Amino acid sequence: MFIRRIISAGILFFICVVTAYAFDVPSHDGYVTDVADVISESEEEVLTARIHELEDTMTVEIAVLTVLTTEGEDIAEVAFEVGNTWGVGKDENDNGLVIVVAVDDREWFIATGYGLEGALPDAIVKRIGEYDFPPYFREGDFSGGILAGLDDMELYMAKDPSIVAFYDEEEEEYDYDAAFEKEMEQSMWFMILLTAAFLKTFWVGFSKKNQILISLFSNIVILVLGILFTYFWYLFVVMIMSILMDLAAITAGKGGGSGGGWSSGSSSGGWTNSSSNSSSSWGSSSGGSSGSFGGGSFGGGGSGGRW
Amino acid sequence: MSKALKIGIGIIAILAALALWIFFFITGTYNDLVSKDEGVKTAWSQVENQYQRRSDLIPNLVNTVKGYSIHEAETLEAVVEARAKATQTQVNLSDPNSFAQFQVSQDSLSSALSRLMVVVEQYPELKANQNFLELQAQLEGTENRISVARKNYNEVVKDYNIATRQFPKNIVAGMFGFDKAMLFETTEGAEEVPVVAFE
Repeated sequence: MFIRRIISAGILFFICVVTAYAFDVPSHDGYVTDVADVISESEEEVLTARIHELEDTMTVEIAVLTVLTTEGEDIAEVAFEVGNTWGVGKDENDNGLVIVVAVDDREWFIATGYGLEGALPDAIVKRIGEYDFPPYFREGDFSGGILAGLDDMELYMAKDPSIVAFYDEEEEEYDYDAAFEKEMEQSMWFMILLTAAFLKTFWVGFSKKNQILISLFSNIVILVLGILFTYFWYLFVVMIMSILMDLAAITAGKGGGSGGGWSSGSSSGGWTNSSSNSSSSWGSSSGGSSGSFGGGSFGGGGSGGRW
Repeated sequence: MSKALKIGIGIIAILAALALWIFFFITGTYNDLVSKDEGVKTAWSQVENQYQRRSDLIPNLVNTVKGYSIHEAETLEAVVEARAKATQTQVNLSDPNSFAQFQVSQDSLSSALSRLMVVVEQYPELKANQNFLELQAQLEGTENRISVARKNYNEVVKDYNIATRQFPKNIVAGMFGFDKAMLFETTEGAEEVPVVAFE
């Protein structure tokens, strides 16, 4: 009986593991990630230079991945997964292109990021792939086929000015979401000021004389800092808490430090809730970018075929 | 100041702090739920867009196939009917029934389409037709987009559902009427495309 249970549990476990997403997205190795090892070093240099040239002239980001097999996983889904995980394409206009070649499966897929779907519609991508890849791939010349495909795709991309991302000369970076970063900064200051208010209440509480003076002084400092660095609402909250805590500290007598500590402890719990929510959404949006790619995303555009 | 007054002020200060804490907790949670809910709506409209895109491709496809006077009127009719039904179905995101109906109608359309594609295999002239090839590529691309949109929608919904069900946020959710949203389930055998071998 017992042994039977173990065996069926084992089978269940095996099934669960096997039916989970079978293909692991490899970490990228520059523009060309040649897992299947079908591109020689000199060929890879030529291909990388060409991709770099396309990025310089049109700001599009291109990634090439060769694998032996997609292990039963749909090559289209692999391409989107790779594109989103590596974050191919500039964040602001998602102008990424991912070319996946499964050598043993004899399958290819070209995925277009959201921003490239206009310049390279699925039917065009299909035609380019079906025309350019097979003659080269059948000879084992994978980089040659890809280069030919890129040449044709360049013609179409050149017709669409919207794929070019805006480069901010001052910031020396592409125009990412500046407003969002500002929001993060405000939240950070809010936490800093709240902590300062909490700490200064101890100072107020433990002072034997001039409590009111100390409280007034430190609250003014916090007010000024708050006006400079954070939102009105955050500041309003901090000031009210600060004043209340000081009141509690002062009126609770000599042992005021502990009284002030208690009320500020419960209030900082509530706020960490809402600020940690904003930091968790930040985590998920930056999870796509890694190293050299711009954080672009893919919505399912592109086409594939066999040779 | 008398001792009683001092204690009184102290208590009021603490109660005020507590009240403020509760206020900000509710506000913070409500705003978070609102933004997650909007995320769900956005993800859903993406799904709807891609299904609509598929529906829009179909009349062209049907006409191209008809032009080759093949004797598969039934299969074509099935596609046209399934498409009409799918485009008519309206969805209310919190209503499990309307959501399930939507999924069923779209899945029926998918089956009708794949049966049509199987039938087309028998007609090499049609298969080689440039127009047909383009439509086929676009259709495949749209199916990919639908798949990605559904995956993304499910992820967003999972996020939202967790937020509305976890304690103590679920109290706020209940107060303001945030209902659980529906997930896309894969129907059994939907991935199986019938393969017909011709000797």
